[in-house]
Amino acid sequence: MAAKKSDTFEERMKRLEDIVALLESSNIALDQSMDLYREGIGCVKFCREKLEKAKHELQILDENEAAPTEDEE
Amino acid sequence: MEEVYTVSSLTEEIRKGLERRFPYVWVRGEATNLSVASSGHIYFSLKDGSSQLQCVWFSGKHKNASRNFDPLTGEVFDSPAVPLAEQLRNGLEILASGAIGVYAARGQYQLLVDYARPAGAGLLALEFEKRKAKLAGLGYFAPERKRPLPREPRRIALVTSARGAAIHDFMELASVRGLGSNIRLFNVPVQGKEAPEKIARAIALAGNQDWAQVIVVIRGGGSMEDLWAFNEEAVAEAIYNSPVPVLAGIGHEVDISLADMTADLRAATPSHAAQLLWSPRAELWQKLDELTADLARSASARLETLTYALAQKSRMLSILTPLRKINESLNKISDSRRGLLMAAKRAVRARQEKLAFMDKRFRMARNPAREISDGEEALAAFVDMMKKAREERIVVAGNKLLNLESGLKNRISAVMNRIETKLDRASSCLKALNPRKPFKLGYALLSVDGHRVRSIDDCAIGDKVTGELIDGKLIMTADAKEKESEG
Repeated sequence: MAAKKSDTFEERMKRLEDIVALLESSNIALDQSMDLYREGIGCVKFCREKLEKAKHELQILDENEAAPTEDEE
Repeated sequence: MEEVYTVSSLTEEIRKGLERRFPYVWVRGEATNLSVASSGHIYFSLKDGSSQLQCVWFSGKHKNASRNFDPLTGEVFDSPAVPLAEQLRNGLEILASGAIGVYAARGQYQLLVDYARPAGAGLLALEFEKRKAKLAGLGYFAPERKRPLPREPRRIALVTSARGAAIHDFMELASVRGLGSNIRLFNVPVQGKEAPEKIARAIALAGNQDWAQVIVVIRGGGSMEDLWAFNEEAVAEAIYNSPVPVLAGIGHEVDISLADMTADLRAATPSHAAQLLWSPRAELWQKLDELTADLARSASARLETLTYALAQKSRMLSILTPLRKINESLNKISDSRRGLLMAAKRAVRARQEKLAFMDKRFRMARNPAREISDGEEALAAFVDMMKKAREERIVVAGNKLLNLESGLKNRISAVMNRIETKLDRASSCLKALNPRKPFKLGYALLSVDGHRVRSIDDCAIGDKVTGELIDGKLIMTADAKEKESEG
């Protein structure tokens, strides 16, 4: 699988699951194993940060007020 | 001729017909002619502009009626409502339900009241049922229309009042769930005249922004009137038309509004809506921790497998290496070389010995004088040897004689010894058998006229009995016999 970086928690969690499955089941070369492991550690770090920073931002729109144009995310 | 009924049979037929036709009805009217009997039964009439209906509300019915549950709407009251039986008075507009029965004694039909409530709330309930049927007919509640909510949504349009209890409950639950999100609160009144239209507009707006992943419509608990905005068709329609999935949580668990029913998913309460949107963060942490542990374990297992495979290959290689064969060949060569060397040495030595022997023979053969002297010496030695042999033979013969003599002596003495030993043994046997030996112990040997006395029968009264003792004889006379009793 190409190392296309996904940017959401869910995608990284899914990738992490896939990596574990790959390491557990298939017959992959040492170099690839190490790469996968490194990538997995990256996913763990990413997800940890996401969880640590997780917060709901509330913005109140009063009647007839238009939605803000800037899209934070 | 037509059948003739008795009054009773006709009344019975009418009763049956009425009961079959009106097993349960709702009637609206103004209470009048109210009277409460001492038994607790309540008698009254319901009337409108032109008609009256006799009603009886038996005490068992109105006393058993739950005080905080409305069987018509399913509404549960926060505080027990005052039972209608106590509120009932002439002129009150009420809604009563029950079966139509016949009181045969008076030939009256009447409503056997099961439940009654003031007509105002009852009207709302009826209206609700009416709208519900209509919207159901339009397919608003069709299960196949329900869309799944996005998992762990990040962009939420929240339609509720910024000052209500609902937003507070919702945000409190949200704070420990999910991965963080942006929540746009469309601040709308949730009750009152303007509420339905504003709610409907907010839903439409949120849906058309092409921003929110889900629209959440919530409101805290309240009476049916309080929640009524969410039973307005405008709100239900906005939800029905929303391009974005809608999650509704209106009132308490028992409150089910048309908005709830139209939404893609119904939450029992505003808090429950937050629970339906996001997983608990603790759960996400746990899952991440588990995956982290799995990663470490699977990677090290992989490494172990590879290490093992490497060790195995290396062992195989060491078995198959050509170096080993070379070493084996070298050893063989060195063995052969050693053998060859030894064989060569042996051959050389054998030749050398043969050479030395030949040389000796050759030297001897070249000296005849020495050969003669050798012959004389040999002769002298032979004579000498012969002499010695003769002397030796004499000595041997003498020795043989001496040996024979001593042998003879030995034989004789051995025979003598044997005879002596035999004699000794015989004598000691004889001593052991000596009949006089018991005399030492005081036994005597009795005899009469030289015959041994073994029994009293061997001797007669008056016989002379000789008793031999150790140191002499006693001569006695037998005076009497006493036979020893047997046993």
